[in-house]
Amino acid sequence: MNFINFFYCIRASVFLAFLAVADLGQSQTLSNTSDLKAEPATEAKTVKVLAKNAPAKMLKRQGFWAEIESGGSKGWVKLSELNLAAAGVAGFSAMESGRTGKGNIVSTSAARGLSAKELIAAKPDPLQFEQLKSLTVSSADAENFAQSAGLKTRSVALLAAPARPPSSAAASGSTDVVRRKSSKKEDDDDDEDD
Amino acid sequence: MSHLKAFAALAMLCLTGFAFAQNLNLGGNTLQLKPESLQEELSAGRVVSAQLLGAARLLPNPALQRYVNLVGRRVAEQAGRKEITWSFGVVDSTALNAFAAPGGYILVTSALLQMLDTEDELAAVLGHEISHVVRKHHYRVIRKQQMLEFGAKAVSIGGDSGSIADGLSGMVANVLARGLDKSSEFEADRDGMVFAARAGYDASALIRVMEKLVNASKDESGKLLLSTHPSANERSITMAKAVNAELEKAAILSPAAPRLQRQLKN
Repeated sequence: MNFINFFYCIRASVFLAFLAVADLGQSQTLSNTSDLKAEPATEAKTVKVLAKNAPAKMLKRQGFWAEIESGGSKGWVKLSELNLAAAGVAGFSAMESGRTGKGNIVSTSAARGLSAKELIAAKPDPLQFEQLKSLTVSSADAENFAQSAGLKTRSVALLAAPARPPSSAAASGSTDVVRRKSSKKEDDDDDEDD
Repeated sequence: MSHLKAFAALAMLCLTGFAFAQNLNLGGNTLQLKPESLQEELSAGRVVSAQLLGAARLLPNPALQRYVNLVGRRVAEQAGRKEITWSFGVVDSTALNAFAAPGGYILVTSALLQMLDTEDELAAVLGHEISHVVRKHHYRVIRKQQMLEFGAKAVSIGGDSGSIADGLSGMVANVLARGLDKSSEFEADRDGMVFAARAGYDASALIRVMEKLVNASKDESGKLLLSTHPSANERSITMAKAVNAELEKAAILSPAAPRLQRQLKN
């Protein structure tokens, strides 16, 4: 575990630099037939039309846009046109950040996995709930904390739901309340035994 | 006197039973006996939170807990529902996940927190969870499930005594293990971007979190998150599609971004 902690010390100290480069240079693919734009803007000139699944190398990120290189051409596509690539660069994977403690924020001996099974088997802990409630801060304290970093509120409207769900969304994942887990191993009919 | 009382109680029982029977026979949309209330929502939140905290305990780090509450409260202030007193907690767990309990109780795992790079990303994750509360996603699933499983036995979620019924905890745990439907998750993603942007954070930070989560599919620690949510890739693409010009202008790293790393080091 120590080598990972060591890695984190380095990582934390130069985190802004990592931010800039962590996912650059990775090979990705286009999720759709896409317009390669000269600038990161919808109204910018289209340099080339790229085919779905064409490979793309990400060079730069800017807001919801990525500068990519694909088939010898350089330009910008919106992030909705890119499939996220799993990290191929050693040491940058999210998992390594997720697994072990860095600094003093995890008391490793007590850490639990929180799987579905563990959640179902758990005994409710009302005292911990009281402790959670006691963590509440006032909105005034939160406001001061935000201002101390120079955060400014913006007026932004809620986004409407898309007219149609994304192409492959209909088939899987939708969980009906009524439906029982029939295909999974644990059966939840006996939860009153506990 | 006592006969009269007993009769009155019996009459009440009959009426209640009748009401339930009626509602159940109508099926589908009219299963609810009582209207939604903040009190019931808070009771449901207590059951959900106590169950989660029975599985993973709060991290004994007061400074970090306060930090997450300050960030979370700032984001929650942008989400409406002023009647809610928000509480945020970091739980000690190697799983990558965050949870929203009805009534404004939000938990994030220490592993997820460590995966994040900036305060903007933390604000985005909390914004997603805050949306589940504001939209009553879990509260409504729990209400429906309660009616289906407990029928006439269910008087109100959690009861009036303050005790947590075993059966109810089990049901709630199953709701958490099953997750919400996809459209609720996409809705919370859109709201999460908006709430974070309103609070002054980078509107694209939630997509950054998705980029990190893509790798989680390979590992045990991301298992529950991935079984209860659409894939990180699908979420990223869906979010970027939903973005409008107003939100694009808000996709700038905030001046508060480095505070998370400073906090994690202390």
